[in-house]
Amino acid sequence: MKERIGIFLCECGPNIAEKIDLDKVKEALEHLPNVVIVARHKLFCSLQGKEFLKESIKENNLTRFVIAACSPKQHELTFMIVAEDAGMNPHLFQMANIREQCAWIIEDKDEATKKAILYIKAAYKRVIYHESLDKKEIVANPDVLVIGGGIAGIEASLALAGPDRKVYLIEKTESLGGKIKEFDEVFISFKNGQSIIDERLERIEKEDNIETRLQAEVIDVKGFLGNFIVIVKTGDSEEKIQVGAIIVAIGFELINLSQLKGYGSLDCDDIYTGLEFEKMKKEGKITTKSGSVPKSVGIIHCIGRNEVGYCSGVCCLSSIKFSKYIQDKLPGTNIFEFYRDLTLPDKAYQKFYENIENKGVNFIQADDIKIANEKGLKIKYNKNKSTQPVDMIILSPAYVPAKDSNSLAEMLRIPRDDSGFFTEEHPKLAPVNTSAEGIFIIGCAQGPKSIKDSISQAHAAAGKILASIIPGKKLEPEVRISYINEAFCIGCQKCLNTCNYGAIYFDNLKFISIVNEVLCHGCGNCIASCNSSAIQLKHFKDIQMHQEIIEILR
Amino acid sequence: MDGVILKAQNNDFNKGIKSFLLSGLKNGVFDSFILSMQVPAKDSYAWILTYDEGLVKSSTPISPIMTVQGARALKSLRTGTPTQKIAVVMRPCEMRAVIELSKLNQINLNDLILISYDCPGTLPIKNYLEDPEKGEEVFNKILLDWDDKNIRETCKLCDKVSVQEEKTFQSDLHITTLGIEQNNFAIISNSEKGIEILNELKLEIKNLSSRDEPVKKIIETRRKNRENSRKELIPQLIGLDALSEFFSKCINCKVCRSVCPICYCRQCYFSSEKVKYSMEDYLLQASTRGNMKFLPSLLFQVGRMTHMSLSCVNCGACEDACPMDIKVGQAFSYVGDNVQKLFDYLPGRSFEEPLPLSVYREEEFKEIEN
Amino acid sequence: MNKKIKINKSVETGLKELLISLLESRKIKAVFTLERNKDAVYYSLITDLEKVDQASPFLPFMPANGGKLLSKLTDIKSISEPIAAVIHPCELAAFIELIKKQQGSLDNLLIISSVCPGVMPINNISETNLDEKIKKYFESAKNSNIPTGLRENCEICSRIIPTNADIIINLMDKDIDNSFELYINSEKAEKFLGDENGEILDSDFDFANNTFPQNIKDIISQKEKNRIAVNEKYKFDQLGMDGLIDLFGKCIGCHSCGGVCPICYCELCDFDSAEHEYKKNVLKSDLNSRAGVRLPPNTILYQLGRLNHISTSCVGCGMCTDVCPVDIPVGMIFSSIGNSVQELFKYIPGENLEEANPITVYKKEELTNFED
Ligand SMILES: Cc1cc2nc3c(=O)[nH]c(=O)nc-3n(C[C@H](O)[C@H](O)[C@H](O)COP(=O)(O)OP(=O)(O)OC[C@H]3O[C@@H](n4cnc5c(N)ncnc54)[C@H](O)[C@@H]3O)c2cc1C
Ligand code: SF4
Ligand code: SF4
Ligand code: SF4
Ligand code: SF4
Ligand code: SF4
Ligand code: SF4
Ligand code: SF4
Ligand code: SF4
Repeated sequence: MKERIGIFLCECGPNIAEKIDLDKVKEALEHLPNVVIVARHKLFCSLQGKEFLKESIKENNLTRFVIAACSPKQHELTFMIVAEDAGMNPHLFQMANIREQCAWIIEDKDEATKKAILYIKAAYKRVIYHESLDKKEIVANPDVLVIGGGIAGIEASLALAGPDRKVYLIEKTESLGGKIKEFDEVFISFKNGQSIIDERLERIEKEDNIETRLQAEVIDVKGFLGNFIVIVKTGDSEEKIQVGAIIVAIGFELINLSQLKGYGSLDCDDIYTGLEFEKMKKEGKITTKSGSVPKSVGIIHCIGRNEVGYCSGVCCLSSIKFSKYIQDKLPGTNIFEFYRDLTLPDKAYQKFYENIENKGVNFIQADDIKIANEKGLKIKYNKNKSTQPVDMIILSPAYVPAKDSNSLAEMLRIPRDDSGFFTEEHPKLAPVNTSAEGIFIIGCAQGPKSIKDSISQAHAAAGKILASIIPGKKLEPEVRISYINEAFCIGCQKCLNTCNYGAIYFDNLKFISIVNEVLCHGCGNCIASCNSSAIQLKHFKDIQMHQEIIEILR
Repeated sequence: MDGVILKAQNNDFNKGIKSFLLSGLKNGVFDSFILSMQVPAKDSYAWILTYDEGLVKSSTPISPIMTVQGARALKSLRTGTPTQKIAVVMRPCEMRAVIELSKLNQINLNDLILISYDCPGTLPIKNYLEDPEKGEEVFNKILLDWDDKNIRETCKLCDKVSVQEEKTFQSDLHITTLGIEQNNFAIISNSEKGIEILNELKLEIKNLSSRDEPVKKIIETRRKNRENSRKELIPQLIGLDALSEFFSKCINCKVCRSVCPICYCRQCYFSSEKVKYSMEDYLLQASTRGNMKFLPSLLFQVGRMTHMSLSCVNCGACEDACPMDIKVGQAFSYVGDNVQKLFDYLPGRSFEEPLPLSVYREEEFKEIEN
Repeated sequence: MNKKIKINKSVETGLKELLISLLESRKIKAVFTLERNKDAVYYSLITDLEKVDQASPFLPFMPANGGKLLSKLTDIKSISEPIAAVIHPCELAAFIELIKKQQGSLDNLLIISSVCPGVMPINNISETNLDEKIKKYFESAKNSNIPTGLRENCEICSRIIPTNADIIINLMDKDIDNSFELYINSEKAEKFLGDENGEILDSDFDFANNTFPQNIKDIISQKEKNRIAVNEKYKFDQLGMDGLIDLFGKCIGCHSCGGVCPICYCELCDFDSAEHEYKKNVLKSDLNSRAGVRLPPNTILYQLGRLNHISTSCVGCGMCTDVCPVDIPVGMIFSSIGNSVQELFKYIPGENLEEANPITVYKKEELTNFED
């Protein structure tokens, strides 16, 4: 069949029309072989524009077309849909970006016009080598795996479980609840932590569609959105669980004090971390090691903040909560809170702080605190000029990522930030997504936060999953994916390591690498690793790219 | 360094090595061998895999020419070896290429025992072929006096000829002749496996400090040679014009790539049809420049450099084979040295050191994502 | 036909002027010919008039088989605008063989070739006294002698007439420094050439039909003799397997010979494919039966396979010998064995575009041949 190619020039309102001489462009293109129509329109992405495009494709029996307009990031999808509507394979077209790359950046109209012609010719050259790619559909599993049974994990599980969606809740320890089950009271409601958890455990109990695994660990994850295969190890037994999405809620840990230098002696008796102190409070007795009641207590904020390089955000409040604990339990104790600056974001939090201060807690701002153990505990500050002897010290150490973050990140192929917490896809636009589709991060696994924020995130992730994996609905995976030519692959496996989606596996029998069609996202990373180009990316094959590049370099 | 001292009557190192290998065969530490052997016509050498005592006896472990770079020979066993303890005697540069290919999953080291030796260099194939008998004579002399007058240019610049405290290449065992008493040679373990083997053979380990000086001296000479020759070479390689001039004679036959151990691809990109142009494309290119040279050899040369110079072991196989006598090995090894420095990487230095560009690092992923 | 144009210029100047005038009159778009730049020689596609003037169409070298290059240029799409190509007879023959295998097209190509005195080994290009040598070469050709210092293959090449070229130039002509003749050998050529190029005369010779000057006949018969002598040496029946193994004993299996061979056109050579990799069990049994196995293995199998694949089409260009790193006379062996196979099939590679390659068609006689 003879090719019939159309070239469409978008004016983009005045954006392109005023900066590029489109008549000249048209003239330069009309005589290219197989081009049957060169047409312009005010705004191809508008309703009329799309209709015009569709009709032109049909009327001219186009087999391929080029559209010179904006960045493909903006409207490639729009025009793919138009192509489909016109009965054409959506991959038989190519965009030339003459707005961002020509109109907007080149002052001189002649120059901009020249460059635009070059770019459109390049797109024309390339589109000739495009191939039809057929859509695929895969069945998505609606079930969800939640890793970590703290408050965040519990909340997400409860929000997701339902008649046609099972949730597998995997907890490493012997009980659900995470940190907060140890807290006698949690701000700002001052409810008991254990009872908050208990309420939810009761609901989990009743919910048939939550399967909990205690003392369990995820040891392998394969697959992709809609079809993950997870191996979970409980005790000595391993089971295979199939789910469509994964939520990571493994929480946090406190920084290891032995890593810290510059705070003096941190390993003496009667120095407790926040978590240790919560436990003491829960057990009902606040005493020193020798069993006596402390007359004075120093609470030190921001331990390790410099070392980790961020403010953990919640510790100011938990530290102030400790003052409340002591005031409630041991009225009359002298309390000194040493802080660097106070982080009190919520409207209720400021009040809480003022209340506590009014009840006689001494808030001291200092940032060079040293603990000395010389005839009793002493807190030195102000460049050692001031000294405060105390009977007990409570530290608020920085939050750090849970121990398993590293291994999970590798297993799930999701990135972590400089401090080691999992990174969200976008801090504002996609705070619970990861770069891997179908894998979400919530609660303190993503970064230090309060219970309230952890719960919000749990609900956000649940919402995303409910909206994207609807039971019975199929998913359309990417079709512009890479493939390996068996005849040319020598089996060096260099490509395997470059794929962040784990989409390439090695076939030992044939001694070649193979791309898993559904796992591949078409990112193109692997292409560069294969010297001999045994791997090619559909729609971005060497020949397609080269044709475009040569034309531009002409 | 320590090692075991063995006899080599009349300084016939090859004979000594062979009796060591055969004693290993008897003791079961080796079950077969890959050795260099003269071809029946006695005008060249080939690699032979054998467990036959007779063949071992007629082999020449240390041979005067490098016809097939050893790593290329081993690569043909990549789908599996027939026995489990194959002793392979090869030059240091061949060992290094073997290590590189193992990282690229082209050689499986499990079944191999790598034995390297103090390498005085090899003769240019062309010279040897002109008069093989004379070649033998010349080389036998070189084996004793290490005179570098007649060896390949690339060998004159090679400083990885023997093991030292500072590790420059990996093997399991290393045969050393430098600084060892007349009529003797020594074997040094160069890996865990090597230590085990020497233990198994129950040979007496002695101090070999006598070789320190001679080894150091030869390495220094080679480095000096390199420095001097690079002074001339570098200006010929810097800049596109210089480079085009350097490769101007190249007929794009790609023999250099065919014999290079590191070019392991099934189908070289540069001889593939991945990128095809039509005459019109060529015509357009010709019309912008007035002419269009066939086939553009610089693309191939520079492309090959980007593909493999990180692992180039300066073995000189390419230069030895180039029909146009282009100093292609020296050019690649110079570029290789620089790239390797950049990544703080030395090809073939150790079994474990991963190829710099092939390891997945989380930070990199982050960069991609941002 | 049987026309010629006599041009009263030295052959090189005359041809270049002709090419320039064809370019100027837009009858052709470009010229495909040899260029020399100091000790570099390469084929080039030239559009620039000045560059044509500096080209070396008759330089006695073959950096790559031009037929192979032309096939690469025309196999995706035939050329849409005319181009003149100056190539050697064996390159043209190779090109025609490739076209038979759908690897190119003659459309819009004006092939100019010469009665070929031979070329020199490519690495001679760096020799210091090269200009002297080239001068001697043309001197010999002029005087109808076989020049010295040729590629071995050229010494035995008797197919020195480019029967399928559009334009044939006789380089073995005494007057070549002052005047030469262009033989118009096709209708296509008539379209390109006219009075403006010189006086059109009737020709006594018809190269396409085997009538040409006596001096050429003499050279051919002498080369034929050389060839027969060499063929004897490399005759397969005589060599047998053992002889072949001896000949290729040095072979290092680099496959460079196939890489430069115009007839080896496959994208991935069968002998480089996974199917031909040594499998562990095969290796084991080989080792058991022979006590020793050469690595890389199958160097002989490759040669046999290549012989089997290409011997009917080998044009004896000698590219393979030129690049062989261990100096095996690959081209001599291939062209000798090729010759005997070709004789068996009464097939001359590159002679007739219409004649199918015997290996690709089934012929009845073939069977009977084997039966008796
Ligand atoms: C001393 C202290 C006091 C605090 N007080 C308050 C307060 O009063 N109010 C408030 O809002 N916030 C408070 N916080 C913050 C609060 O603890 C967190 O917001 C909350 O715990 C976050 O819940 P989470 O589920 O994300 O993590 P976590 O509570 O840490 O739970 C994570 C769970 O995952 C499990 N896990 C870990 N690794 C794995 C694995 N590989 N596989 C399976 N399971 C795994 C853990 O065992 C744990 O059960 C306080 C924090 C501290 C340190
Ligand atoms: S990098 Fe290329 S050759 Fe190596 S395994 Fe991957 S596809 Fe095969
Ligand atoms: S294109 Fe390659 S690297 Fe990217 S997802 Fe697909 S297989 Fe992985
Ligand atoms: S480059 Fe030459 S001297 Fe160096 S190890 Fe190889 S053969 Fe020996
Ligand atoms: S072997 Fe020599 S001539 Fe051939 S491609 Fe390599 S550098 Fe060029
Ligand atoms: S490029 Fe040349 S010197 Fe370097 S490894 Fe390859 S063959 Fe050896
Ligand atoms: S040059 Fe590149 S593509 Fe070619 S064989 Fe070498 S590494 Fe492979
Ligand atoms: S085998 Fe050799 S001589 Fe014959 S055509 Fe091929 S390259 Fe030419
Ligand atoms: S070029 Fe020579 S060595 Fe290489 S495969 Fe051919 S005959 Fe063998």
